[in-house]
Amino acid sequence: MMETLASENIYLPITGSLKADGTRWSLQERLRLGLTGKEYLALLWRNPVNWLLLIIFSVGLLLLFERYGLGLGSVTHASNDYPWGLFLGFGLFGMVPLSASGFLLGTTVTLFGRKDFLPIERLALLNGLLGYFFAVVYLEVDLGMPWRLAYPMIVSFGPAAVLFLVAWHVATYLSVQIAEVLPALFEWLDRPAWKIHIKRMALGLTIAGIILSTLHQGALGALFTYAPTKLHPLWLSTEFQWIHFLCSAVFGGVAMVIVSSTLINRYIHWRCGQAFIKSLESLTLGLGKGASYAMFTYLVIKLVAIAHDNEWEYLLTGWGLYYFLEVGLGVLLPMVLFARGVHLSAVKPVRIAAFITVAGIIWNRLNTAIYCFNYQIYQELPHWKEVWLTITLYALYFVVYRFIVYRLPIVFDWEEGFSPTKPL
Amino acid sequence: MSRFHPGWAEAFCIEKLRKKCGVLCWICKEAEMEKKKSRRTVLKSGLAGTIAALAMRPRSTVAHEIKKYPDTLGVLVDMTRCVGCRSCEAACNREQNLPAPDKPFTDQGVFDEREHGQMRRTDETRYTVVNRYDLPGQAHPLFRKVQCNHCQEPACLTSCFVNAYTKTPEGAVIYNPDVCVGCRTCMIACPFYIPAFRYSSAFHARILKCVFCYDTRLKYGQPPACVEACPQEALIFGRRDDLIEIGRRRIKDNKSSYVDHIYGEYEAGGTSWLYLSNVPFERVGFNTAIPDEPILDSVKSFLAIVPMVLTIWPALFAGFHLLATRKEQHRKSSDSNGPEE
Amino acid sequence: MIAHGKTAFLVFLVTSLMQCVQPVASMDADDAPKSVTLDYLQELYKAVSFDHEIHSGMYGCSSCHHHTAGTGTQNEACKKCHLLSRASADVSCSGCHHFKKPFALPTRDHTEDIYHIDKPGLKGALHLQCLGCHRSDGGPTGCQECHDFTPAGRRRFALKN
Repeated sequence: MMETLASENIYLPITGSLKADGTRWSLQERLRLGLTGKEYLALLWRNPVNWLLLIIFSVGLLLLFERYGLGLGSVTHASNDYPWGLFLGFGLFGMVPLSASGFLLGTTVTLFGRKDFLPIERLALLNGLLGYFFAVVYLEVDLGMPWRLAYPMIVSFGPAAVLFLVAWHVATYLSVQIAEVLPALFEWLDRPAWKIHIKRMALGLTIAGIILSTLHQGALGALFTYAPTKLHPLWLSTEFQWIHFLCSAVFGGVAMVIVSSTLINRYIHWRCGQAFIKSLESLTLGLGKGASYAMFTYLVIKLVAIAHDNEWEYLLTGWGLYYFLEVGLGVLLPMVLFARGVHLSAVKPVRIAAFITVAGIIWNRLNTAIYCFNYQIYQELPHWKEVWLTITLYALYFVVYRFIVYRLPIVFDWEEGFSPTKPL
Repeated sequence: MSRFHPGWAEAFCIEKLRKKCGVLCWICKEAEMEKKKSRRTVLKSGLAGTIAALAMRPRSTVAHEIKKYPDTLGVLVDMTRCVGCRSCEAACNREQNLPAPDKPFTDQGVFDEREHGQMRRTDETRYTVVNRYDLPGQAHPLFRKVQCNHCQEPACLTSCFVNAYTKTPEGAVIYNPDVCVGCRTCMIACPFYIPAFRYSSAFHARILKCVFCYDTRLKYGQPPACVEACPQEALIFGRRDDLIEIGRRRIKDNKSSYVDHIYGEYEAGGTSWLYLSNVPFERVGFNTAIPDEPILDSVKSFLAIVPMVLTIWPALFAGFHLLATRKEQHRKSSDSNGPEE
Repeated sequence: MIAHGKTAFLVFLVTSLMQCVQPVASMDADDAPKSVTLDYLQELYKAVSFDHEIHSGMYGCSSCHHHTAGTGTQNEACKKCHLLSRASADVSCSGCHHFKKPFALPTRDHTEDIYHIDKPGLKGALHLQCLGCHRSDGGPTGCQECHDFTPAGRRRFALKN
């Protein structure tokens, strides 16, 4: 669709501060992607994804009002045996490992000096920031008293609790990630000079990011060690739960970057800059390589945990079969695909593997939080309203993500320039 | 006169016949024998015990240091006495100003209620429930009272990140609704599935659970309402240590009537509410797989590494950075040295 | 030594003879009241008129009064010390099983008493004793079969009207 518009208007897409005639793009124009209001709405309307979003939001927003107006019991099964449902199981436990991309690529580029990953770094940082931000949004929907979100920070401290660490770290890490994405915003707002403040802190921010991420990714796993009698032994390791969650966050974050970049490259290609497009395949292969190392490590440490707790017999049960399914389809299969793709320098298997990995991570987290939780009693299935509301919030995340990628220099370079004779 | 036999002494003691007690009557003799026997047994068993302790892995509680709260209070629940009258439920409801129930407390039909195939549990309207267990081979159904067990090292307390729970010196585990955020981690952590959440409220949500009648009674040394209400004294109240002594005495004196175990003595690090039963505990709804260690012990593996990561990571990754960028640094320094060469 | 032996034999003779005879102070059914009004739970329940005559006709004193009636005891745990105990001055339940503060802290008969550490209060004693037999030998076991609710009791148990 942008191709059609591009041929009509030689100024688009906006890749710099100045128009072809040398005047500055206004903020409203930048927000409207350089289109008029009518054109912009037409653009929205033409996209079938937006029709789906409309359906989701029309019911979802009502459900959101219901949740806040009438209480959690109105959109969930109000279970005292299953206090955590999809908002946390998917929104927090599922999205946070997929948002590990921020610290991973930040470390790769800034700490390890791998400047070749620079074109994809901002996308990874944005992915991380939005993932954590929306994890907090999900949390605010899940908390019984959401207006008290800041209490563990300012009112009453329970420092021995794992969740205390999670709260403080997520809050701090969000600040780190905001700082890391700000340069893109500064460029877009024509304030490139402000970037220097962030640049000075780059290494410090990165190391802070690694520390914070290691601990809270692990802490999310450690939360389940509070219920050693409730979680099935194959999904619980009191000694190693945190390492499992940390390791899977590594390949989860990497996979999410591949997924995100694949989708953007395919469906928002007009937005992608030269550096991004040219290097994407080799970067995807590089990321795939890293993911496969992390996955191999993960498989080994899962085995170690089973050996440590002498859980071999559980592998022979029905739950054991389910465990093999989850690890086999969610980790082993994509690992093999990653390795194959890297070996053959073929980007397609790597991309397929990334999609499977993302699904596998979500599957593992939902198993840990809901399905294999309370395995000794009845199984609670979420209320349809809870499911819809979860999808609604994810749709909101998608909309915000898309909004930013459409505008800010995430996958392209600001002042990159655009040849009016060759539409992208 | 021997303190073992007060009645006998009054009636028949030789002393009373004004003869100096130079001869041991058959009762005192028996008492002496008992004492001697018990001393011998103590020595024998002590020796045996030492050998056993050295040879076998000792009971985890001997090895594990349970934090001692001297004079902590508790309740001993004797399931052989409970008849399911639900007076405790009624008393709790009144004492804690809970909403009126759908069915009166005289209704025995509630014992047949099932939700998701489970018997009744605590929820936002009730801090305690009694459940009935009809077991084959038992003359009467058995009844179990469910409420917060007021653990010695509560999982709810250790998992709460706003310090909403407090273990009082009297033994009650109480909750502060003014700092609670509603994260419901305590509900995840409690191995007994006790805390309930007021999901029905948007603006006044909170956790609801038995608080041992702390504000109204325990603070003043009085037993909780349920204990006072129980007609059969299936619930008795007192110092936890004394209750364990009583529990052990009941088991000893009625060997055929009790399972030789006080549930809650060591489970989850020890609870203030203790149970006696005449059938194996798992048959009357108790989770006997709960470890003797406090729940917090399972979390310690992670908590221990937190300060390590905070300390080691900066140096480690700064080191990585230096290693990774040494070529660049070398180039930078050689550039600056360049013009001189 | 022989003197000791003789004394011991005499004592033995006397005591064995005494065991064949009823101990001096004991009670029998005629000493007991025909009925007892149990009104300790007046707040929630109406007073119970306990028919003592029927019960004393059916059972021996020691069935309910442990060893305090001076008629021996059936309880194995009590036999050790109280087999030949005389009748107590007060055989009423409330004489030993106190109403006030039944179980604030464990009750003991004497400060150095190591045995009676588990004595129920009056309410518990009555119910345990009565219900125990009623359940096994047949008798009223429902709460209201023995004592009706007062209005306060109806409110407490959330009974409508």
